[in-house]
Order: sequence, then C-alpha cells, then structure tokens
Amino acid sequence: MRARELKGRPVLDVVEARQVGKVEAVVLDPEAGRVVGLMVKGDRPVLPVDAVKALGPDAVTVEGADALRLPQPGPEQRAVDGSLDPLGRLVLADDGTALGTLDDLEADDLDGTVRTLTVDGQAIEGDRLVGIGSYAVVVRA
Amino acid sequence: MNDVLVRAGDLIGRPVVTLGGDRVGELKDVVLGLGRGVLVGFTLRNPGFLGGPRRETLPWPSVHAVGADAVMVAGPDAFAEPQDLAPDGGHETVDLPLVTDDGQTLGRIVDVVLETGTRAQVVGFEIEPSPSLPSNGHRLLLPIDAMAAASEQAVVVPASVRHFVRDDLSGFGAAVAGFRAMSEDAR
Repeated sequence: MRARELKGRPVLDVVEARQVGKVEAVVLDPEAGRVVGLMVKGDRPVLPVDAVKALGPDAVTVEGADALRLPQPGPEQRAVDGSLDPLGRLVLADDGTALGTLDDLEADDLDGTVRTLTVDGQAIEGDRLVGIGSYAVVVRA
Repeated sequence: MNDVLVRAGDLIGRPVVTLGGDRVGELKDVVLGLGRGVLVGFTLRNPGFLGGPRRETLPWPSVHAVGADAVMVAGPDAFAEPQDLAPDGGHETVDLPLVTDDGQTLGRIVDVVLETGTRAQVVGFEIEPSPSLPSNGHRLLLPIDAMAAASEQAVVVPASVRHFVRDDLSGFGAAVAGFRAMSEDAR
C-alpha cells in the first residue's frame, strides 16, 4: 500500500454496501516498523490493518461497520490525538540533520511492514524508521 | 556521516527533538563543568517566539546527537534539575581568561567549539586574543582536550596549544586532530 494513494479513499462496508468513512492517514507503529491501521474521520476513527478485507483501487473494503473502532492506547491513540499524518511531515535523521519532507510511504499490503519512505524524492529503507511525533518523523542516520 | 564543528553560540534556539519526533524545547545556552573544561549540558527555553526559560536542564549524557537542524534526545525524560548537571551546577566559561601552563594569557573566551554528530564533544575555545598575540584583531580558535583545567577564575591549557591556533572553523578540525595526536604522544 502507498499512503498517498490511500488518502481520501472511501471505506466501504460490503455487508451493508455503504460507505462508512474515508481514509485520512495511515497509523504507524514506529517501534514495530509497521502500518497498524488507517485513520478514518468519525466517531470510531481507527480501522486496524487486520480488519481490512481488501485494499482495492477504488475503495478499502470491510465486512461490517464494526471493523472501525476507538483508538487503543499507544500508537493509535497518539496518531488520533495528534492528527499525526506522517505525510508532509519534516523528516529528521537521528543525528539531528533534516532530510526533507515525507512525500510517501510504502508498506506491505498484508502485514503493514514499512518498506520505503520517500523523502524529497529519495527512497529511504523502511526499517530505518525510529519515531513519529508532532514535530517530525525520525529515521536512523 | 561528517562530523561538523560548530560554535556553541550558534546552537542557541535549535530545537530539542525526541527520537519519537516531538519537539520538547529549544537550547538556550551551554553549561561547562569546572575542573576539566568539559561540556556538562545545556539550559533550555520553551519552543517558539514567546518561549520563556525553563528550569530543567539537558545533561550532556542525555543528548543523542547534536545536528545541523536539531538536538536529538531519547525521550521527554532526558531533562534534569540544574544541580544534577554537575556537583557545583556547572559554569559558563565565556568571559574567562585562557592562560597557558607556562603563564601567558592568550585571551578572553568568547565561545566554545563543539564537534557535532552522534558523537559530540567539546574540541576548543574561541577567544578574543590578548594584545600580546599576533592576530590582526581577529578572534582565534584553540583546540582543547581532556587535559584542560578550568575554574571560575580561568581556563588553563598546555603551552603547546600555541602551535594549533587557527582563525576560522574550516581549518580547525585538522588543528584539533594535530593537537590531540601530539598530546597523546606526550603521555
């Protein structure tokens, strides 16, 4: 999955054939180096990666609106509280050097493992991800 | 990765960022410990235009890296009370006279030079030279190593440092390396 392509994509409940929201951002767990869910606007703002039926070209599908839920403490809570969309954020190396702005993020469709970060057009290996906060995305230098 | 030499004065206002990506403060000033002329930490202010000074300090061992764009710390618990920086709270060396161990006052300290990167350390002082030193009125840079002694009255350096005086940062890295190699040989 590419975070930039997912942004704005409708979330479709295939049981009720109803749109239950739109993807706002990916939720990152930097310690695990994974996309753990998608942030969706609304009362239940988290769609865990495990609860996704398919990442289609025109919709992210789920089986039942209850696939969406409240954020759990940790990366989900931080992402929702801070509206932490990693895209567009400053990327800092852990030696204190700014590398640019995060343009895109590519992760494995099945388990969410972050493969590549695109920073000012340059690819950075996903396993260099260290943290994401309100100020910056931090990667190993 | 290139380690870069910077004047501590140029670090003021640089954001302090956790590895988790949150900005937790800005550098206000450097604090040097007495006895060995080492950097013990930084004082802080709150981020932003109206950011006031902070009581907590940032001890040097808690600094993950000093970079061109940010000072990195492991987490928000990197800070400490001022008295935890050094037994005496630490001192600024700016304005102290820099004296050689054979008794010549080289000048007055105006700034501290740090080597930055993931391995950061104090490598020298910038001085306003004494009239006795040929300098054409320029400020001068002098390397130090762990042998430098400091008190609230003066900082003392080996007389051999005279051979490694420079007037700009670009040639100073080589001077630091040369001075340290010579100090090693002398031991």
